[in-house]
Amino acid sequence: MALTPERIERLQDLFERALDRPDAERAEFLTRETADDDALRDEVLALLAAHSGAQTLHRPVELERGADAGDASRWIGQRVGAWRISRLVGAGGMGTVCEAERADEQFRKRVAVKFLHQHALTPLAMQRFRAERQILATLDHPNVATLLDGGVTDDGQPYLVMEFVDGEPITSWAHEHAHERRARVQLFLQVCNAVEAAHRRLIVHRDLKPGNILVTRDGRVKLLDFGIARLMDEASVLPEAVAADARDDATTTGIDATDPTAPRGATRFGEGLAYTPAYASPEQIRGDAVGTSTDVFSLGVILFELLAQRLPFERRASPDAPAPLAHVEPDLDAILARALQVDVARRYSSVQELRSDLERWLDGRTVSARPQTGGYRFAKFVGRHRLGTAVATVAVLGILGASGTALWQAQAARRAAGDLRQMNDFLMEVLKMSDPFGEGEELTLSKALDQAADLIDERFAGRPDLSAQIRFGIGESMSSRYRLEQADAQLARALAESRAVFGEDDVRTQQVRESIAGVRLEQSRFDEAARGYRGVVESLERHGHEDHPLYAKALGNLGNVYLQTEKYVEADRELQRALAAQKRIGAVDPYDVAGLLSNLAHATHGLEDNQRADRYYRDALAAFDKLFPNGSPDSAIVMNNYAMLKEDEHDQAAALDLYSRSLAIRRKVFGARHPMVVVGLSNLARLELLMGDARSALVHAREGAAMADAIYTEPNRFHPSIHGALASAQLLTGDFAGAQRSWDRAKSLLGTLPEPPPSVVAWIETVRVQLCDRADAERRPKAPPCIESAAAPPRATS
Amino acid sequence: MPSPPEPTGDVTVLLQELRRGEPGAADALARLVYDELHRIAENAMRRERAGHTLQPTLLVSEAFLRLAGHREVDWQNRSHFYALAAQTIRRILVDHARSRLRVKRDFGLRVTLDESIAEAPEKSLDLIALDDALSRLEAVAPRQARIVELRYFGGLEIDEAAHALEISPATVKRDWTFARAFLLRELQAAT
Repeated sequence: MALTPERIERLQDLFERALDRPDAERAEFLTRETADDDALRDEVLALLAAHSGAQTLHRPVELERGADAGDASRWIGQRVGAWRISRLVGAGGMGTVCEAERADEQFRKRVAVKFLHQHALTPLAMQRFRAERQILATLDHPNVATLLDGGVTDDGQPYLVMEFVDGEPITSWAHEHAHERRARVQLFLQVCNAVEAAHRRLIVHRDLKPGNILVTRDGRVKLLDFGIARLMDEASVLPEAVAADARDDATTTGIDATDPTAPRGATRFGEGLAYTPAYASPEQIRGDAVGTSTDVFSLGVILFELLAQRLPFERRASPDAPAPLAHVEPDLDAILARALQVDVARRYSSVQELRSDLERWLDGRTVSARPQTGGYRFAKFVGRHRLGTAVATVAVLGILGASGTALWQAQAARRAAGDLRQMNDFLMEVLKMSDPFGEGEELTLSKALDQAADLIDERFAGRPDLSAQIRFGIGESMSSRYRLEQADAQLARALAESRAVFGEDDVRTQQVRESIAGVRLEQSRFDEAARGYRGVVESLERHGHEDHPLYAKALGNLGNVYLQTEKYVEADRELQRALAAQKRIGAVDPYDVAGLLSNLAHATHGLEDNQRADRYYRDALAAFDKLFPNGSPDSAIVMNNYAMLKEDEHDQAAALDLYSRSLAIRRKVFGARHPMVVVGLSNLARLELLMGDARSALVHAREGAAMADAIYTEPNRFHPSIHGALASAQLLTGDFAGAQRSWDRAKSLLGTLPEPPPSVVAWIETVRVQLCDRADAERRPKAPPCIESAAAPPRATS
Repeated sequence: MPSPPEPTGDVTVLLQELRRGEPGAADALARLVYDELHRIAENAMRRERAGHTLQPTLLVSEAFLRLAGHREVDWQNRSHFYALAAQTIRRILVDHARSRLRVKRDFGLRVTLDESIAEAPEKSLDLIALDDALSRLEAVAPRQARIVELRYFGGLEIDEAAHALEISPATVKRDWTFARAFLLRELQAAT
């Protein structure tokens, strides 16, 4: 009978229903179901036969333990391919390694021949072996022992021929030859490079340990045994896996013996057999699917051992036992802690990330494993200068001084260098007074910075040019940590000194003004902020400094003020000017370009020019993705705002997805208590309310409100907004009293805003109406908000 | 052998355009993927002296890594890519098998169905026969055929195929079980 869509549908239906029944009942079931259509019944039976036929292919292969490859003596003197075995090098869980030389002696070349253990020789293992060999052949890397040849001996023993590496394990080599911490990190970077190259080809090592990482006499790292661990595991675990598979799921035919939920790139077989406990990742010990992260963890253990000269785990109580602190130095401790995270999601997501952090450490730059507080970044810049290179000197000038290069040119080089040393010694002293990495980090560092103010007077008496710049640096640092009052005080003094020493229209003075305007913006004192930025722009224009980067920066930030006050026409105008200025000045930092694109997206979005907005959002996201492939606060912000555009276009599903992704990045980047997370929570809760998911909204709003209470010490628009969302969610989940309390709080917080944005006002009003409607419906007594007279919720356009 | 030219288009951008439904993106991407996969497959076949063993997952992954580089591509985009790659691999392999058949009059390219249809390595299938059977299935049950393409030629897991087709993993699993039985029966009937 001809195959038609209807017929195949019927076939599949019968096939599935028959499969659900025990073997014995299937024929009867089909006869009953197909009535007199014997052809149909026979077809289904044929399908069932094909199905179970496939199943038999997966019965465990009978294993025979043949001659033990571990008995190496039988190989000595033997010829394997073009190679003659000369001696045994070692034997381990996976096989035996012998040294060999070319048998025809055309040229002398020492190689290592690796034999697999006999019990590994199932047909599937052989198949994998060939595939693995093929992959290894592609892995041509200076830090990986080269695969030269491979094959099967006459008696069926497969072997690999590798480059012979004459070296010693990385740990003992380091003990002899690399005493300095930096030298050890540099050595370790070679290991990272090799593992990274393998990961790019989706080869996971899975058994990284010093014994597999040799260092040759000339200091070159060579990794051994790539892919072998996986191969061996598969071979030895196969019978069990297949048996379990056949037991557990009648519809699984062995084809799905691999875990369908395992992520791509994860090695799926043979969990937990061939590994070395001291270096194994938690997921490996648990027997879960492992991927490239398992190598990241093992690398962490090896680095720990190299730096702390002991193993993190002597004996692990459970796979999830957290790694102890290495107590080497704060940055390296943080890097190790991140590499050794039990939770894969919190670990470095790639070897590349681990390597870049180590490279940053070598350069004296901020490492990503450390929380990014302003104070920390500040400390790092100083640390970098301490290295004393000319480049670093200029960099510090750029950070500390209003216009470092101007200072550099204006003064005699010698004197400038002396001044710099003086400033930096001072900053180092300040930073040493605190232990910014210990308990209560913010407090101690802030205290130290407060004390610094008095010290500045004493130390820089008669040098207001220097103290102005020190205060500017400290003020910036405080400002970036939301210590706005303290920042304000320092910056005010810096401004006064700058004016006196450099003059009002000097770029350095204008830079301080720009920074003060930034504090005003954070304080939601928008008029003052806008005035400040405009003043800077005009001053720079008056004196022909339009080509100074500060000009584009101030214009961009002026646009920001308008964005925050939802004056989109003005915002669009200023931001376009900033973009033009960036282009004119040239040599634009791609980060600034991306940021401006994002702000332009926001402005055009506000103008409801959706087409332009969509384009800017995509451009901005692409620009940030390129800069930060692993996600960044910036991409979180753009996603947030793009989500709003999607909302406007009534694509709530896309919006919810963007908000959720944005929040996930925020949590990852900023941790548990941060304004950026409040914004993320606020928006998610609001959309969930709109979509009628009051329960999820309640969870997010409650978390956000508590966080906001803890964080905001100054009026902020998101503060009343999130309490409003909480009130609404409480109301919808039946907590009338709670809703009323939250609304009262929202209302009083709204009152603290000097210039409450219209959308926030409207949002609080919306919630009030909801509250009063519900009170009427439930015939509750009139509550205060419903007696006094007080729209679309606001959106956090962070 | 001349060194492979650098890929010309930006696969990430193309994938994004494809998702937004921009005209031309699909074609541009297909060309890019085809060229790259072809190059990799050719190399792989040259390297392997006895018999041709291609692992679809590795093939696709390698192509993906080459084209997308180290950038993170979101999951949906990746699914699009794999779906496209699966189709392309099918075409490459079958074309290759047919051309060999013309030259050598043998069974055509033998592909060991390592990661999907048959786990046992000794069981090789005649690729051309499989392609014919799959085309027959395609005519009456396109979704099921697409799933075979994704799983078998693209090396996608159940969940990944579900993502790519925007259907539930349970459906993919059911369809896959059925389609596999169907194809095996067709192949048995052919020999």
